[in-house]
Amino acid sequence: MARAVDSADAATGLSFVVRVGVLDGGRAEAEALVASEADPHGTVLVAVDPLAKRLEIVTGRRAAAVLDDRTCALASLTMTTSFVAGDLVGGVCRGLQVLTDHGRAVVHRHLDTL
Amino acid sequence: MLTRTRAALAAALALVLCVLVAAPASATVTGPTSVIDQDPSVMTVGQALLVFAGIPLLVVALVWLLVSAPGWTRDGRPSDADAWTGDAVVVGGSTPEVRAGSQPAALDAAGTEEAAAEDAAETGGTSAQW
Repeated sequence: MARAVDSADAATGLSFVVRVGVLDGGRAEAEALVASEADPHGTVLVAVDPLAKRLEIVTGRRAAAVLDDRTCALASLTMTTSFVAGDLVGGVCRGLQVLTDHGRAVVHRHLDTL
Repeated sequence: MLTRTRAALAAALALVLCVLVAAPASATVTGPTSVIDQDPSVMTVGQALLVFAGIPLLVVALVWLLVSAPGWTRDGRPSDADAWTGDAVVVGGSTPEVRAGSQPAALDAAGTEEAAAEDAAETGGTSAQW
C-alpha cells in the first residue's frame, strides 16, 4: 500500500494519504484531516472505515482540478468491489491505481524538446 | 473437360464416403448380445429410475458441489475488515497528528470549526459504502 501511495504521489504530483481506521465523524472528519495536511489543496485522502464499511475520498482544491468527482466515484467503485470480497489492501491499491491513471500529468514531448 | 473430371471425381468420392458411413447399418444382427434382440422386460422400474433419474441427479449434485465448495472455504476465512482492530493506520501524508491517531486533528490545528468548514467547502471527492 505504501508503494502504491508513493507511486501515486510521484505520478501525479499530488499528496496521497490513505487512512484505514474508524471514521466516527464521517465526511466531516475526513475533510478535517485533509485540512490538517501541510498541503491541503494538493492532498487526496482515501479514508476507509472497515467496521462501518464506509469509504471517503476527499480531494483538496488543486487535487480536485486534476481528479474530478466522477473519477473519485470510479475509484470508489473499484475499491468497494474489492472490499465486498474482503480484500481491503488490494481494493485500496486498485483504487489508487485508478486515481493515478486519471491524475497522471500529461507529458507534451513536442514541447519538452523546445 | 477438366471440370467434368473434377465433378466426376467428387461424385465418386462422395459415393464412396456414403457407402462407408452407411455400411454398418446393413450388418446382420445375429448375436444374442445384440441390442435389437434384447428383451425389453429385462430392465425393471427400479433400474430405469436409477438410470434415467438417479444418474442425472448425481451429475447435478456433483456440479452443485463443485460450484459451492469454494464458497464454503471462502466464508470460513476472515476478511481484512473482520480482522480490523480499530486502530487507524495512515499511509502517506505529512502531518504527524494524522499519522498517530484516529481523532480529527484538523479542528485543533485550524483553530475553530468554522475554519475547518471553510477548507472543507473547497474540497471534492466522493463517499461510498459497501
